[in-house]
Amino acid sequence: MPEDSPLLKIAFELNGTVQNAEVGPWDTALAVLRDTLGLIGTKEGCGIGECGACTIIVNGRAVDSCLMLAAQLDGCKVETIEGLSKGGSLHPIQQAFLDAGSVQCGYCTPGMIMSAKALLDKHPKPDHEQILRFMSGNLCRCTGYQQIIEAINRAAGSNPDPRETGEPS
Amino acid sequence: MRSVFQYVRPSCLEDAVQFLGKNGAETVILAGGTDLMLAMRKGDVECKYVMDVSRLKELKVVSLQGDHLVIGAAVTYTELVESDLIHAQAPVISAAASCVGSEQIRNVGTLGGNVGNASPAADSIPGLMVHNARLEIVRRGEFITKPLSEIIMGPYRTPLIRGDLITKFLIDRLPHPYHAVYQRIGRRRAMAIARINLAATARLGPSGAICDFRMSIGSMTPQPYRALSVERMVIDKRPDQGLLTEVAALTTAGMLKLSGVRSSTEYKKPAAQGLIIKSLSELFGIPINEGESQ
Repeated sequence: MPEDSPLLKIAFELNGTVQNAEVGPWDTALAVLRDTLGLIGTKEGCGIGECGACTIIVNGRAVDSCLMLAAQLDGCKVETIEGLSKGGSLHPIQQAFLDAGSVQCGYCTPGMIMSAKALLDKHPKPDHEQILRFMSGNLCRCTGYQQIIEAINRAAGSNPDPRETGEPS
Repeated sequence: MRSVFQYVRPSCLEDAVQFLGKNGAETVILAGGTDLMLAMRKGDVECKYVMDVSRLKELKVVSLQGDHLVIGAAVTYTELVESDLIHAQAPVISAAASCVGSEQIRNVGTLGGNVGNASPAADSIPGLMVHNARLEIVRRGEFITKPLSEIIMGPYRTPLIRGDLITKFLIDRLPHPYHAVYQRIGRRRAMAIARINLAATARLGPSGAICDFRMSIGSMTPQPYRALSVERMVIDKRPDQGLLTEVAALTTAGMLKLSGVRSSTEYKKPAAQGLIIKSLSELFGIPINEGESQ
């Protein structure tokens, strides 16, 4: 590391707890979460903001952590998949993903669930268009999306609409 | 190998301007990061400093100032979509912002970044063009204002130099009441970049004749395109299917003169004509005759 590029000290709220970290100026938020802090629930898929596997919530908004510098987390409220279950109980969105059979290989699932959480935090009863719109940045190559949409509807407490088909476009 | 640099985050515009005055030539600006982070990942960002302007409140402003709507350069697409003021004053810019990328991209990507990178497929450009957008830029401590048409010189080419900071956009308010439309053609709805996009606004007089019309088409020509001669041609005419067909033919011919005939022309020419007819049908509330809309 060059002498003139020292580590940065950052502090942010991570899943409700103050987190301090020393990060390289060029480190991504994803790299720091996974490699420095050991939170490997957040996945790297494409690394270029196309697939959404690395989705986390920063200040209430879903973002691709691969497209963010760790330094940008400083002072922010950050939520990752690890913060969802409480006291050994799954978060309702996690439970809905299990109940609806929304998980196959599981690699996209943490990102899917974080996008779904950002959606439901903002729109507790989303309509079908809102679900497609919020989830369009998350790719799943296994399930065909139908079960994921159903899980979000279940988590929202609404009845799944049998007419809903297809993938987020 | 990833790029190596120092990270700086000024707390106010004045500090940013001061820093850039001293270190501008060695500084790259980070706003949303949706383009810059890709370059960093490849190791293509060679600079001593990366300046994060995403939190500068002076660059987050959305307000009416006299005849202008002011939009800060670090306003994100999501903030554009959620702004009632922009929805009321510049609906084509709201509509374009809602078409960008995905929720994750819209949450961080900024208007300043979209323009500063001069992507030929930038969603925001046609909407900004119909509003005669101008940019305020700080260059070596001095604030200058330039029309958007002078900033986009070609695909990924601008007159901006390292150390320049886009601070805000000045947007003309349009004569009320007017109709507005934004449409795009992409390979699929989400994520796909626009192959062709279009923004148009119009105002009709009491007799139903057009008294104000503006149309800009993106991604077809090297520079942002305003169909100025066609805009003049339609004044005092009543919109009907014949007029829309004529507008589509003239506009497309005008763009092809600028872009030249390329391998994609065979596809883009009828696509552009179809897009124009479809968009203007929506704008003027004229039902489309599918046979003529390609």
